[in-house]
Amino acid sequence: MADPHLSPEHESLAAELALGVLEGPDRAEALRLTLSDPAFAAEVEAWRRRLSPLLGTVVAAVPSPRVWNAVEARIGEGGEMLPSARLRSLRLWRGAAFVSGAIAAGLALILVSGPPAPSVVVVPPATSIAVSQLSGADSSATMAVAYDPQKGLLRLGAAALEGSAKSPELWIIPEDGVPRSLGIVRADGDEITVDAGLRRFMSDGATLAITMEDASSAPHKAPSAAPVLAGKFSII
Amino acid sequence: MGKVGEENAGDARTRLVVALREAGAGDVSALRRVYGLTSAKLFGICLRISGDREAAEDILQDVYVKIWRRAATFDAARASPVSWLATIAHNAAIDWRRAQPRRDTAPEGALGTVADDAPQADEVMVQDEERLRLLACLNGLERQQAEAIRSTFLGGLTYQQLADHLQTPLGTIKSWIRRGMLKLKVCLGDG
Repeated sequence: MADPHLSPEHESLAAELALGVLEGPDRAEALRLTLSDPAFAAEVEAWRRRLSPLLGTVVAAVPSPRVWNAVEARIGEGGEMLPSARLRSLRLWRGAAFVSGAIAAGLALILVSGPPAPSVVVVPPATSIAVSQLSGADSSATMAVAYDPQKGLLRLGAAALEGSAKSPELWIIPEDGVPRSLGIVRADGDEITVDAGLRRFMSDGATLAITMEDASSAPHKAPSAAPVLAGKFSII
Repeated sequence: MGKVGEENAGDARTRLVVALREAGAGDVSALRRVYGLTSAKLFGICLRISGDREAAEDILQDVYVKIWRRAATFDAARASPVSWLATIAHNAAIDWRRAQPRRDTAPEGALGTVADDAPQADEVMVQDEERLRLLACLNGLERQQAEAIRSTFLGGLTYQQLADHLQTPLGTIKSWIRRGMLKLKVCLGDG
């Protein structure tokens, strides 16, 4: 379906990202748009669906047994948080919000998660730190986030992110659509102080997102991959 | 294809959808079944794009960990399970290629293997009408446009790599692909 919000340039860029032909700054720009522009992200997904049947024509090959063994080791034995564990950590964060409610006064921010399952935690008026979750467009991982605007303190709950050699890098994407790196964060829960120069971007309409990046060269100017988690800021 | 073949493909698809649903609920043995049904096909995609067996096995490992985490979000009403899985493998392999610019050269066999890409009867992978429709639309494009789309997507090539390989100006390659993609979208009926 033609999307009236997409310029012909962006339509073309979405097709090119799905096709895989982009590199360098063009790819970075396209990946950035998948974070900041839902219509663009939807067009990329539509192209992936259109092209996917072609992948059925690739000749099959048998991988060595070490692959399954490694997969099994990574998803088993606590290496992976089960949904129940994630829920527990979310509840912990909700608890933390009540405890630290006295810290901030006045301004409360809430993260409204993106698709597929918007899940906003209603915060009682007594608490001024709002808690919600970041979620992935096509992943079951979620992350609870709380922000204290007075101290510039951002608290992140644990999330079951890709356990590869890459590390989660947090981005704030204000309404200009340009992602600013807030640095590498720990996937098992973290607390970071947002740089004074970046705090002005932590405002209504901004998006928080996490991409998996090379920790040694962080913070980066732009994301190199699609986000694994994203959610929107809105002031309540 | 005969009726028996269609039933087999349908059965395989059903088994895969069920296994994905159970994996999404946290059942490791169900993921093992998904792996058994699809690993050869997904490995073929990783290998084709990375051009390196060892790298392809690392990518494949990440792919199944991703599948484990995303299985609960798979919606059989929206996508064919094999296409959904193959797209995860394709994206992971492309991410890998673009993340290492030095090694990011066209792998052996990335090009000129159109004969290999002829549709093959395959119990799990028969994708019925969707694939036939896409192949028909590709066949309706100018030959250069169709081959540029096919070889970049399946071979994991960038615009520049295809331009170098064909010794054709970059602008010409871009124009083939952009015009081809526009026509493809219209032909597929959702332009």
